Amino acid sequence: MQLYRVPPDFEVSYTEFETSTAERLSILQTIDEVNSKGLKGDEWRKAVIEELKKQDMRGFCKQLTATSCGSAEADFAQRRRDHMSHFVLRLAFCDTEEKRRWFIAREVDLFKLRWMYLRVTEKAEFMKINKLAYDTVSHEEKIELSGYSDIVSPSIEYYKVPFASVSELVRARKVFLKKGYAFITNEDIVSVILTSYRMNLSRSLTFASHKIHLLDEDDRIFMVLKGAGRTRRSVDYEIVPGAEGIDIKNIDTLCEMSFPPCMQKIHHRLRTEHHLKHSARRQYALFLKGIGVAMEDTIAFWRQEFGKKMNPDKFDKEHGYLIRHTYGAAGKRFNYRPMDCLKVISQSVSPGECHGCPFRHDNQQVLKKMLQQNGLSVIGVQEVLDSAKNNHYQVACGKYFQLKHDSDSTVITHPNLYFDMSRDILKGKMPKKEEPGGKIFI
Amino acid sequence: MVGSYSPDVFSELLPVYYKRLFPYEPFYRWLSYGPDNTNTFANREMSFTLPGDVYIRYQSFDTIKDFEQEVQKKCPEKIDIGAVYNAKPKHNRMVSCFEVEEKELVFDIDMTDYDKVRTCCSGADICIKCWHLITIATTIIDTALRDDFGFEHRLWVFSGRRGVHCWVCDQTARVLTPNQRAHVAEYLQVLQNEDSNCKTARIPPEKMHPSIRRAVDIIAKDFVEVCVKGQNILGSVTGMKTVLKMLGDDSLRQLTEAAWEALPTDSQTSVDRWNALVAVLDKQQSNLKRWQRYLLEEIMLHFAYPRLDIEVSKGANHLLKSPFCVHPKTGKVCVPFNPLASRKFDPTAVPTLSDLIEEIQKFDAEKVKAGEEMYRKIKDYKKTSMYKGMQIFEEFLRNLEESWKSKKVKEEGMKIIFYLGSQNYNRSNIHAFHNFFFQKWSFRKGVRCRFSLES
Ligand code: SF4
Ligand SMILES: [Zn+2]
Repeated sequence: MQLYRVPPDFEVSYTEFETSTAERLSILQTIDEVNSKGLKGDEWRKAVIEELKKQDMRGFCKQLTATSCGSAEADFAQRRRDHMSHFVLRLAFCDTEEKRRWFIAREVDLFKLRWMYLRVTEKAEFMKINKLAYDTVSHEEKIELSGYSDIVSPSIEYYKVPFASVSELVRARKVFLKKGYAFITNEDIVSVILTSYRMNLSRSLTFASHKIHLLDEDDRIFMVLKGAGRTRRSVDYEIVPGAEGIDIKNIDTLCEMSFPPCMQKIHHRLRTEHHLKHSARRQYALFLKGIGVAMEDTIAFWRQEFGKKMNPDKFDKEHGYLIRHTYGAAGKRFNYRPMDCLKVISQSVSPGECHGCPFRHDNQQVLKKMLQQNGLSVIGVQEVLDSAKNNHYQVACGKYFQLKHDSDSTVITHPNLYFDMSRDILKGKMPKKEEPGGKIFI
Repeated sequence: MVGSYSPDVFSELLPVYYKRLFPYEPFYRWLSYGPDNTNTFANREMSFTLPGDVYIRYQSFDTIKDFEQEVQKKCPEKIDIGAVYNAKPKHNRMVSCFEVEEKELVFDIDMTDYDKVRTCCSGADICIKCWHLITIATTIIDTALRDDFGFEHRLWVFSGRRGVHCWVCDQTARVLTPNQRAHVAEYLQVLQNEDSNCKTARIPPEKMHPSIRRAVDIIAKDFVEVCVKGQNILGSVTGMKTVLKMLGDDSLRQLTEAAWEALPTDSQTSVDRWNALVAVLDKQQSNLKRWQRYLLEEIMLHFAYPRLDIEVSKGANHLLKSPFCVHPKTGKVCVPFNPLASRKFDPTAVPTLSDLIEEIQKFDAEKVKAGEEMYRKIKDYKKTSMYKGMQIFEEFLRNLEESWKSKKVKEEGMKIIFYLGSQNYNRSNIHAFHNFFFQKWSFRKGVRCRFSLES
């Protein structure tokens, strides 16, 4: 465990480079996913470890929980991987503010996780190694202060640190403040360490972002970096051949019950305006294909709607092609996959267009109305709106799903998965509320 | 002295104000933060609101002259002050590394947030009665900033209509991250959303944080005068009902109601009822449940603890109306006031634009006519009732300037100690020092410091 102050200075094989990076990335992503469940303290720790074990990250878990060091060699190798992967991901996540923030927050989580596994002596050792020396509060001072504050007790050891380094404790009024200094106990010192860790990281990342172009020369490294800088796993939606088809006649009911908001919106638009702009056509057609609507049905259904405003022949020429193309029956005959949330969310949407993700692209009023129409309670609506406001679109969508289906909490990663999960629940294939420790749908 | 002011004359008088009264020089001294910070003023975002609600952001001015000329030319109805960036906002905000470098920690307290606990006025109106709530707020926040956070340079300014702003200008405050700002603001924001008993203050029964204890003490001094009497909180049926509800416990409610009914008919005032309530709580002390331990304190906090608009404090790039602006509707100047004497500050007596301009003219006419040419040299604001606000501003500036001097001495001292103590240095404190230097000097001032000690 370390604060990554010194960059690695050893040779590594390319495979080691790649695998250790991938491993750390998925650790961080796992933490992120677990965070969205809103657990605290020990529950959070257990949930994270459980998930990591499921993903076969035993090397990592073992290092965490090991009470005695395993074989020195394996331990050393693991440390090396840890050290290196941290620095590689720094580069992968340095280029935008959003990524930097995500990376820092997750690395801090990871540190917290590890800190939870340290024993008192190890913590002291850690502070010594990292030269984290803080002023302690003298006995006289404690006596004086305990006079007007029952927060300070003379029998406990206190450190005096600038308030800004423990601002989280300040916010919760968990510390005593005097003239800019906070009096903190041994236990709380971890927040001080984290603050400085966070600041150092943030500084290094900004610095790295200015230098990253120097790395362009090595293609292989560049590819790893590019691939690694994603805060969420991208989700591929495989269309299972032979999956039960969807009867187009039920499409309106299905839409109300099981479409994610992004598709609901397009569907409604199609029904009311009898027209869709290009991006919406694409997003929707891929989705329909994904849920198992046959190509002919899609064409017929769209022709019927579009036909209210345009000549059917024209429709076949202009839009029929797109549908066939989407289904892989025309043009390059490429089997396009339905878009995942990341893709939907990252599209740009101009006024008047209806594709994209409502949680990201709709303003709060419109969103609110949509949520209300879908029968969410006032509190539910607010909860979802808050997540969306904080740019957690998929979390917002997960909450929405949870409320609408009375299911366990989840994060949505793919509109089609949304649909499938919804169908499963409604058909009773899946328990509505899962037992604790059940799987999350990722 | 407060004459009539009508918003119609605003656009007529404003140019005169900017020409003769706006204190450019002290204003510039403040926002430059000393001779060492050469770019601080030039990299500061200012924004102007022009007539017709035209809002121009990302203005910046290289020199005081530029600023003065532009202000006089455009005559903005409002000037907002934003953050200091790492480059000049007017040219560079498109470059990718355009970032906030520093910004005062600011607080905004507005009377409209008190509507639930004041009975004398509502909305945009204020009177001296409800202003006392702001006075209490100012005292509480100012004390906390000074004693808890150790901030020395706090500038309190009347916001021109119905609130106050506080600018904390210490170096440590200016470099806080948005997160840290939010945390400080939340520390000071004691009140929460109403609970089921319509109470906004909840103190955990284990312990009362010393800062809350202090706030309660400050409130207690004036509570009867300002809230019980001034706001007449128990003088109406709704008021009584609200307080009863807050007791959160039926037996307490009955006891209190009984005590109120037992009051003689000629002493049925808000104050009488309050005293009766205090007596009931006193007597029941030993019967109170754990969560009722601080009931009385909570009620007082509910009615008088500061309502902060913490969104304003959170963002480092948030804009806030500059001191010495004039409020278009009231014509009042946003003058600094002394938080320690905030009880004496009367917002209804703040001079309006019309007053000020009349005052200059009168002064000029009298003295100049009398041939006393030397008076011409007197700064115009000294001829007016803005004088007092300016004195407070000058004092704030003096203290700030003192601190630059002593800081310089301290930093020099540190350098020397470092070189002298070099026989027992180790790598890590070189590192720390290097970091310190690198951030504070190289990045901020564009000076490169090389270290040869490493070898
Ligand atoms: S989060 Fe995904 S599924 Fe939900 S609305 Fe947005 S894009 Fe659609
Ligand atoms: Zn009033």
